[in-house]
Amino acid sequence: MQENGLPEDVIKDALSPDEVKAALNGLTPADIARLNRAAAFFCTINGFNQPNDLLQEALTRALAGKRKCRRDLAFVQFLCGSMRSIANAAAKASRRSRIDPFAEVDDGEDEEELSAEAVELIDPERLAAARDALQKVNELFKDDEEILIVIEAMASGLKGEELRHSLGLSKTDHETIRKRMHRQSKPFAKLWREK
Amino acid sequence: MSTQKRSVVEQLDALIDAYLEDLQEVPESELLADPTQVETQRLAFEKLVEAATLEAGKRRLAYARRALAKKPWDARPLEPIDLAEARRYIAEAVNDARITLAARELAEMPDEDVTRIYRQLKELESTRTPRKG
Repeated sequence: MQENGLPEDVIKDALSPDEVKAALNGLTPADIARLNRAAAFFCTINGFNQPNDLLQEALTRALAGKRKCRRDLAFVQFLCGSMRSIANAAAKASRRSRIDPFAEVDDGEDEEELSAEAVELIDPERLAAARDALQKVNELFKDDEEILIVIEAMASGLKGEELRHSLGLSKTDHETIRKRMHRQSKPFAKLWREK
Repeated sequence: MSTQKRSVVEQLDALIDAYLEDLQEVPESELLADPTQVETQRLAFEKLVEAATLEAGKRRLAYARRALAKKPWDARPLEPIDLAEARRYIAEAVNDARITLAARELAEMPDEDVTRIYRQLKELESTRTPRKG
């Protein structure tokens, strides 16, 4: 059912347009820095062209009411989620024309994935886009073993304290690695966008 | 789940989840370490919000137009009806086996009822498939 003629993502108990504006005005410099980092991250792995374009699109959808922010969700988290889905859709769209739906699976890994229970949830574009993204991440940090280990742990579902405990890292160690990840990803993000 | 091999999509999703959670942990001292960059980001963000507000206005208008175009027929102004033609049409309909219409004194039927029934019959007619033979 549509509401106010809006096409999708209609959620009950969501922020009103005025509340969205107020939430935007209330963002702190640290919030803005986090949004910028998230936008750059999604561009790096998902192929959206410019972080600013991605962030602006997420802002536009929030202001237009096309994507609604639940009241129980932090506003920065909501915008990050919106950027994530926009970038995902862009990555899938960019793969669409390159996918042959009748192509045979060419390696064992694919075979195993395609026979998994979740097969109906994973379309070929998403699979290809995800493979591209993980390949990019691995290529980006191929010279930094510590970062690769952390990324591998993150991709296996570990995060925060659980991740530090699993890898025997202190919070300071983790922050140092994270800073290196952020520093190293900046120049490469631009390079990939130009490819 | 932990014992199963994750698909690349699941791995990417987990990586993004972990990244976003980590992002919340990044201390403000790190995020705001460079005052020049903080100011640049603030100004750039203001411009993004300004541009997004303009674009959002355009999109809201487009959504509203689309919603208006989808409204049912009765929201549009009604064509005036020739009452004599409407009474003749209803009289014929009473004899039509496909239409269940109580036998009424058509001549005594108020104009509003004639108008309403005529519109209903026309609407019904437009949605029916033509009878064969």
